Amino acid sequence: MIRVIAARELKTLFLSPLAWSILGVVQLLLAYLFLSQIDLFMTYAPQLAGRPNAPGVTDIVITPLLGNTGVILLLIAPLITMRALSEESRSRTLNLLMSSPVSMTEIVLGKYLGLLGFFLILLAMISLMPLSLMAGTELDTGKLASGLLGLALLLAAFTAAGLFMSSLTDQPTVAAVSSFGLLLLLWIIDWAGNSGAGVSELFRYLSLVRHYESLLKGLFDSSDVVYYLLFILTFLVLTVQRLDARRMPH
Amino acid sequence: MDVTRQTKRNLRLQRYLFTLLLLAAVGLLGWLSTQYRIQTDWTYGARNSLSADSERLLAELEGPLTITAFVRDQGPLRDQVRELVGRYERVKPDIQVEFVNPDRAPERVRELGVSMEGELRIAYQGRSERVQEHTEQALSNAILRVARQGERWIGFLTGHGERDPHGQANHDLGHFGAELERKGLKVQSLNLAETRAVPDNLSVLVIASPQLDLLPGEVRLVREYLEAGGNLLWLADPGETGGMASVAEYLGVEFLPGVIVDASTQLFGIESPDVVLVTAYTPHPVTRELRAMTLFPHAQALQLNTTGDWDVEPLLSSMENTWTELGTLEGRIGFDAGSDERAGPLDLAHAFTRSLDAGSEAGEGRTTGQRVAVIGDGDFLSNSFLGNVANLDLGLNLIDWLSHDDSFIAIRPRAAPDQSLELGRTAQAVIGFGFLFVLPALLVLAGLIVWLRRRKR
Repeated sequence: MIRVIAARELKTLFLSPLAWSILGVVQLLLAYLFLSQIDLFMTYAPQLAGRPNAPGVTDIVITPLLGNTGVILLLIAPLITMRALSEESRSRTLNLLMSSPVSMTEIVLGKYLGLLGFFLILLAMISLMPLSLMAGTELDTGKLASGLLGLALLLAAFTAAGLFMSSLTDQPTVAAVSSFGLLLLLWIIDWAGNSGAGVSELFRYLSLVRHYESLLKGLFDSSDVVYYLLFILTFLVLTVQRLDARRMPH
Repeated sequence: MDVTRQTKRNLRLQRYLFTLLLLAAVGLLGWLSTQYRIQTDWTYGARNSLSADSERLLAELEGPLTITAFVRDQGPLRDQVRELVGRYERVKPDIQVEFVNPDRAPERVRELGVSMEGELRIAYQGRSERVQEHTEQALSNAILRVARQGERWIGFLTGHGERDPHGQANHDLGHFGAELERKGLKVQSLNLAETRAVPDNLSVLVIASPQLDLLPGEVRLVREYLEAGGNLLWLADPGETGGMASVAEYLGVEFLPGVIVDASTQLFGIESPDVVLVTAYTPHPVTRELRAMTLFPHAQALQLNTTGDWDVEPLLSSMENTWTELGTLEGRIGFDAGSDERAGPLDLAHAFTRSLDAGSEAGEGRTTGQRVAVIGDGDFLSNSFLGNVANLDLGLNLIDWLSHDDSFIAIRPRAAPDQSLELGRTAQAVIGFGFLFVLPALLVLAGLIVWLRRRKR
């Protein structure tokens, strides 16, 4: 049942021009960033060559590209997730779905996996760029893998938060704006790091970007992965609970 | 089910409680994940991690190590330091790192003698070391020095107008002495006429430019100290040997008459012609790590008359464009080829080593050889010149080497595997054109088709 819901969600997405244009725009932006990073590398490569501990293509081209991808998708992910539940509830199809013999958990997981499928397609498209460089150099595959893992976890976290926000309101735009606000807040929360040692430690931990940065560096830390998994779990459980509460008569 | 107000309120309460419990559980799991974590470095050659040598060094340390970084709040330097120190913290979690903004704590900067932004102070068991370079090699070696040094006494000879390690006059060594004490060394003045012997716990004896001749008895004591295997740093300014001709003879060193004149210093805007610049170094442990040049005002040249059982290495040499000037330093001066003046490069300092007979004075088991450094200049460590470029570092390295604290970790640089990118023409075209134009255009086109088809329906 989960699979059916997920497949339907993914199909609906690709039936709308929104998903296609998002893919196109993201690809255009990232390709531009990618090519300008390559240009930068080509300019500095001769100077770097003789230096000890010199950075390579992965460090100069791919890591910044993946880092920028995170920021761009922070802006765009809410647009993809906004309709997931809010539009269903506006067009009263959610009630139908709810009255069918499917558990809330299955509905939420199906929706989530459908959206995640879209982001994995996006991720595959983005990874084509770094992988294309293998034609001309021997990439630091470990670092690339860890960066892609980080991006995948980050996207999965965006999706979970967006899905939850979409369950709160009937208006897709409200869902988009509020999930963007939530994600941005979690992105920059560690900037307020000067207020007391304990609090700033907590804020640093909560920040979405801190954990991504260390994965981007090629440093795999189980606590970073656990952070994203807990983040996803929390928002999915909250979404299930939110829908359960809706099923209850008011 | 009969839904009453009561049950509704209960249900809502249940939901709140559930949310609260969920968040508490997630928080607990998150905390646990930071306590028990697996960290691995996926990069090629583990470029984010410490080398095995550094890890072994950290494993040797008992108790906490404090690293104080003098870095401003903003800027790339802070991230650089945090990243470097982070590698050490991952191996040894009880390293305490403190960031100090030098603008906000000027009194600490003055007290610790911090000379530049980005300087790191490493403290361990009451001793400290300074690092200015942000590389694993520099930091590991500083940790090594701070960890291995035991109690070391540095004796400065007094009584003949020598430079005073606690004095504040321009020609004194007060700043250098203070820096040695900050490192955890014991700096002590020594008057041989009073003590009548060189204390046997001395790691290094320093004779810094005596203005008056030592008494024959004192010279004998110094010689006996040398014969017994003591380490000596002898700073001798031009025209003065302090009556230690017999010591010089014993070491097989001869001072050339005159003052070294360096013609290249005028390029650097130095007015007086008798300041010698040393820009290239020998791979000797003392000079190996020096990155900047050193500056020696009013120095004399040394010549080797090696005879005895000493191994001698030149430590510092002046540049090509130098000579020993015998005349006065006034008016136009130049090298007189016909006279006794000697053309550069000239040796400014020599390092003497000698292996001692096992069992004689090397009783403590750690001293295996005897070390002596003779330098034809004392001004470079004086209060007025210590702050110039790498002079202080040279002085500290000298003391470290003389007191047999010169173990060194060489860390092999680990480079990225992908330092060159060679794409063929087709590959370039596909990457440049394909990603930037073709792929986005196809995607937008697909969107357009979907939209048109849906509109028709």
